[in-house]
Amino acid sequence: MRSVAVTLLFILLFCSSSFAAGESAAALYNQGNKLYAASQYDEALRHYEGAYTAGARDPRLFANMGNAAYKGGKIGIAVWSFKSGLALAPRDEDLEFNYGFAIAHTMDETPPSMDLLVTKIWKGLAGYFTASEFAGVFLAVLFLLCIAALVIIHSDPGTRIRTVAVWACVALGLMILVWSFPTAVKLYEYFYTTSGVLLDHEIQVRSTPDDIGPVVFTIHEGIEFEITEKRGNYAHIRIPTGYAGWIPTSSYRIISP
Amino acid sequence: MRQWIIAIVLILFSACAAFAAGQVNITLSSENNAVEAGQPFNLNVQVDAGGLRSLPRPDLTLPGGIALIGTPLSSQSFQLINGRMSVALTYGFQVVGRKPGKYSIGPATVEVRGSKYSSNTVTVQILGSGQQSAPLPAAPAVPDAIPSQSGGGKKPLFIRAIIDPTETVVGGQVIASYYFYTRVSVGGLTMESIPDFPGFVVEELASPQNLDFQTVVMDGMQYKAALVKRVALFPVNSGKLTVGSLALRASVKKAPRRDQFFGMDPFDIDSFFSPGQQVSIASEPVIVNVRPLPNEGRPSGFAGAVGSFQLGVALDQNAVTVNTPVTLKVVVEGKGNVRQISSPIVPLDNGISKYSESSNEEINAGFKEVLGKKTFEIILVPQQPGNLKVGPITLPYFDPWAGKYVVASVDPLTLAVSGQAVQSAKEPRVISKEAVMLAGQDLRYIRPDAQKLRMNGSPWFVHSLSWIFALLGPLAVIISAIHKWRAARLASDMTALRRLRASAAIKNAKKRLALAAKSIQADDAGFTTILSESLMEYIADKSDRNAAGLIESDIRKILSDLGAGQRESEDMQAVLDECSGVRFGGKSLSREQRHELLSHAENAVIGIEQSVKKRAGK
Repeated sequence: MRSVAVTLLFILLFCSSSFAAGESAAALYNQGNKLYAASQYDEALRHYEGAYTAGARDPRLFANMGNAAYKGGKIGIAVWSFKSGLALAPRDEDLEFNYGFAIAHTMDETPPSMDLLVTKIWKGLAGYFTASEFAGVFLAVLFLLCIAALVIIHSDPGTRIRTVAVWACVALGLMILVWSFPTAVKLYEYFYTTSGVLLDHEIQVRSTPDDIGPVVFTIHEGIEFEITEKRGNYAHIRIPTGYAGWIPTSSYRIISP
Repeated sequence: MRQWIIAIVLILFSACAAFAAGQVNITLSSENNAVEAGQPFNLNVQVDAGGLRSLPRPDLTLPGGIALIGTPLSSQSFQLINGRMSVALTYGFQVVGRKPGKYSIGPATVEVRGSKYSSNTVTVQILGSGQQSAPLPAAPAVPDAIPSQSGGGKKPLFIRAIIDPTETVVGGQVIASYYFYTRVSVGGLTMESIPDFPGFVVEELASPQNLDFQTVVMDGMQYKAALVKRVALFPVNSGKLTVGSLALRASVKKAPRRDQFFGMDPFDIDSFFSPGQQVSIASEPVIVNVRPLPNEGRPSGFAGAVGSFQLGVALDQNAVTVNTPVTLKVVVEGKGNVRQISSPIVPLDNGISKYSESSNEEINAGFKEVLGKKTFEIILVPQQPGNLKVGPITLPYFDPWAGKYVVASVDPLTLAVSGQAVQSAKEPRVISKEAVMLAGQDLRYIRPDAQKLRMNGSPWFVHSLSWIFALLGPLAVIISAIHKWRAARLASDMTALRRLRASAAIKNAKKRLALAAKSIQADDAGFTTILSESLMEYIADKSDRNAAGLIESDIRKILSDLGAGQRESEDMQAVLDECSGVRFGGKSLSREQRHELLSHAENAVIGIEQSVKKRAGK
């Protein structure tokens, strides 16, 4: 009984502290909005960054932070903000538009997609739902499938309810079969891949994790890349064209999953 | 068999007819009309004869200054056309010119059944050292001269990797060529493993689908050789880097034994060769020593370009108004790894801002090196009026052939800008194609104030508890299915059901006796009824009977059948008799007597269980 009371107390404390942090982050966010309205973009961005540092991970915050960064000429932070916002709210049209707008103003052009139709469909689907939504739908279908299976087990053969349960089982089984692949890929991406956006104006990507190795290619502010390895103060990155090399970890920011 | 005889008769008949016709043609040809002195070349003598199974070797008259090297190689082919068989014999003579000059070679002669046949003559020019042979028509698939220096170890077939150079600097071009050499007949070649080049950027130069064989002499032996693969390698790290080996699987044909020859189908040309033996061959890996680029003389702005390059620049407009984007095109052309060239250095006057930069490459992977050009398009936006300077544009690079740093440079360009200066440098930038389409638009406006923001927290699926919860459903299905399956199995197996009921009898009896103990406070009839029913239920479970059908007089026999001892059976009977006496005989019991009766009942059940088990154990 005592342990239950202690646990409840901890939960209450956690909730209240989280609530308080949420309110203080909201205050910074609202202050940022006022500064933005007054065209003080750098100051607004500072307040939004403060809310982010306080732990806020709200699509609204990322949307406004991206706007302030863009208006302040910080294209890298703008791309990072919009992309992070889209990771939380992939169907947010305003975020999507602003992200496209910011990307169009970066220096490095992304090569046109040469994907197969299947890959295009998959990318479209993957970009439409978050990993939580994929996993949630998967579990919901699994739950319904289990209920249908229990009905089959416990109902008498030939009854109407059993027939319905069998058909439901087939349909739900197919659904789970189809859905499990993108869910697995999305969860793999969540757990095992890291993407980043370059914040420095220009960086020379080198073939070794130091600042004296041969330059392989040059990238510019706002480019997105996959981070495949970290070694000391350097990260091994791969850009959409497939080129790879090392850059300092201080030059980019990881996209919030 | 009959068909065979007819076929042989037909062949003999045709052969006789052809021989009778006396058709023997002899032709001499040279692979090259002009070759350098000391460079071996081939002369082919082809003898066509109808109706002959074999032909003698032709003689070739060589002038002074032309010498025969090696043993001539021969090939023979048979054809049956319109019932007439013809034999074609080709002899390959490898010769070499020692002195420059024009030589008439031939004729070749052959003697067939007493008649001598002569060929034409050919004229070949032997060139002195430094002289170039007449340009050949463009034939990109024809490789250069195949190396013939010693190295094969007189093996019948092998692969050789020629790396040029084996010492270079980081980013320098290294050409790796893989040649296949054979002096046996090879039926088919398949790539077994492609070479790997760790530490190199690779550019494919040649990978011919059909091998173009040339004849070379190595260690006094004549080989047929062809280029299999050629790549340009650009090392990205210094140190000793390995150029991997290439492996081929060759099907080596063997000449048929004499006793096998006559058993063959004369119409099946493939049967003239025995099935090939599969042989795997691989080249040796080669180490390339890669030195770091020198620090001495390294120009500022050097970004790793290695090769030999030229610069070309142009502006798409030379006169514009303020804030109008202009495109500066910088073309870097030359040999080396063009893909790795970073953008050239473009100094700009204060009134010009540099925005977007894009580049594209055109690589011409020639047969011996990588040539190409990389075009940079830089968007410049002038923000002040006047004659603004763009440049001088420079590209520092390291020339590995000269062994020094070079700065390619072009003179500055002038951009005439009219109009009024732009105040802010933070105007929306119009730089790329997408951005031009978005011109006139702006970001969608910010979101309104919020009472509370969503805080940092891992998504629900990160917690293992959520997945454990998710597994509850499948677990319930599995347990349910097992339970159902077990129940169905029991229902169909009466013996198992009976055994189950008997094994559960003591457990149920304990429950019922505990119920009787609770009713010890009730009246005598109530207590004894529950007690006697508990005991009867126990006996019914044990003997797999219906409790309602049990008669007290049969109890002793039933218990005896179950294997209970006589004393335990009597104890049980005594308890049941006592209960009947109270229920139907009007006998009354004190509280202590009820406890004693309950204790007797429990002891009787335990006693029966023990005696039944003991008997079953025996």
